Amino acid sequence: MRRPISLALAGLLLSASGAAAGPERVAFPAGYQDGFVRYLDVDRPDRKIKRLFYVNPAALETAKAGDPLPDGTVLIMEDHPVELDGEAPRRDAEGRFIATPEVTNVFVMEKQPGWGEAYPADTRNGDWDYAWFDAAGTLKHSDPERYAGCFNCHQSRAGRDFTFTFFKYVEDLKR
Amino acid sequence: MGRCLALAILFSGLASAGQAAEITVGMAAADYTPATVEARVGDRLVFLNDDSVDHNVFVPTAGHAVDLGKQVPGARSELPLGKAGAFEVECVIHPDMHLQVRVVR
Repeated sequence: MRRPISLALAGLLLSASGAAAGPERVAFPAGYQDGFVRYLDVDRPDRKIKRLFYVNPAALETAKAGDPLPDGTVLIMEDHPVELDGEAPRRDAEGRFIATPEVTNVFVMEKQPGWGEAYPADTRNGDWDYAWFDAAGTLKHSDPERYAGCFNCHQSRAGRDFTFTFFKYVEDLKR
Repeated sequence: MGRCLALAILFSGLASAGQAAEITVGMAAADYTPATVEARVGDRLVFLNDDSVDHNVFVPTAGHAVDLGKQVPGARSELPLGKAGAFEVECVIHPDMHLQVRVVR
């Protein structure tokens, strides 16, 4: 219970930028499906979904392999149910799931200078903060406690600037 | 458990050419065993959590990326190999777990 309480307190604090820590300061990137770069698709069999990952073009352009990701990086994880053949996900010719057009969740993580200062050291994910939206861009949860899972899980990738996919993608692309 | 795993891997290796193989990968002591796998399109990786803690198989490589979800001790998960290429397998929970997979036609 200690970590969620810490997150709740962090949500009341002000970061160096003056905005309250937590999901409220992460803006929904309207138009990202056209304006961002889709860099990865991840099949998720246990949930019968496909996750599409996007990054803002400026971050992709300036990110360097092995370095912390640039301030201003915005990463999006977009959930789609997949096409089914009975109960089983249908696969394309390469064995990959086929996403339906429906978007069920839009998870955003954004990095800005000083954003992490509001969080205790055992919770902080660098200067990243997280937000969970629906397809229309409405915040699903504004309570910082609901984001404890994001902070906890991404801690395991501290050596990759707290990202599971994009830091690795840059390494594979540019190294 | 180790003997069963070794037999499973040996059996996988005996699959005749052209016949899809099932290749078992263990997770004991938070290590993927074996640490490298050579397979053919149509084969299938079976991840057996023969460890005492949860694991979560995750492939971050573009074109092959998949998240098999949390796997409790004793549980199995499967990854069909439908595409040639090389990719890395990680664990969401344990960042030092790595498996290299190469799939050929």
